[in-house]
Amino acid sequence: MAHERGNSDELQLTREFPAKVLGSHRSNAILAPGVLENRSQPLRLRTGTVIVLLVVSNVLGNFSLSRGLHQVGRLVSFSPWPYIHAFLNPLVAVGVLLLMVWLISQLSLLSRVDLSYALPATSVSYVLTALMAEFLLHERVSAERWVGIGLIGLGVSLVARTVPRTAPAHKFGDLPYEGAQ
Amino acid sequence: MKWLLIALIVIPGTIADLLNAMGMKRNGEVYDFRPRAIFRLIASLARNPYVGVGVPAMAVSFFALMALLSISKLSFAVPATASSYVLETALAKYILREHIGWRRWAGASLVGCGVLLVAI
Repeated sequence: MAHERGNSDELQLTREFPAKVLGSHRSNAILAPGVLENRSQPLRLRTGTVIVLLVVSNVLGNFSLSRGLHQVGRLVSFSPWPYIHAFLNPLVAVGVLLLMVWLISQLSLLSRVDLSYALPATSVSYVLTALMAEFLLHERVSAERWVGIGLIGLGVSLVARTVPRTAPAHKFGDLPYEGAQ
Repeated sequence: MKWLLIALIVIPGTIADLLNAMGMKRNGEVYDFRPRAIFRLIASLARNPYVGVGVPAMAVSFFALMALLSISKLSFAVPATASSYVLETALAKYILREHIGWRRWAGASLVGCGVLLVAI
């Protein structure tokens, strides 16, 4: 996993952060000995890195799930057992693990940027999915789909040129409308 | 059945995105990705009511996706889950109070159209 420091646009945010991190670690070190030796630098990921992680884990997760589930067979049931059985398939298990990485990176991304910024940014995964369908699953990618891929790319590049975060920060427990103009 | 599953993917998925966005904005920005920090994050999210509802809603959406993946092709299943870009952008404006300028509207619309085309 890449160990990156925020340079460029995030410098300001990462500068004020270590105090907070060290503070919370000090209290943790009392509970868990051995933390002190491991506590070098927080593994900070830039927003762009989180988006890449998110897209890749989403695409590979969906891909291996799809593969695994086709091996498992038809799975439409309201009973949990067929689903639990499906988890025993290695491809399904890897897929689920990757989708957990996806969940964590999705939540981290939403903690930093607007939902309306995160959504198009992550839609790159549809482009990658279509490319994988073409080259790895050998499903035919039609002309319409290539146009769609182009439109997604165009939309993403437009949204990428906006300020990532405009949503007000709320204190925990506030109503969503408070503090917003 | 396919379309019922798509409704079960899209509606809880939209609710999950909104609640998770609200919950994570309240949680504070996440920058540390060491395993220990991630466990701490998960522990703090377990007490966050927005994420507490958002993640189960995401799970409903996810199991519906699993079911759909098992009866249809990947290229049908995945793009069909993304029919709500413009809707979610509008909800982000009115519920999350995000500033949506022309670039975001145009971007969301283009992505929505693109996803529709990819889904055909």
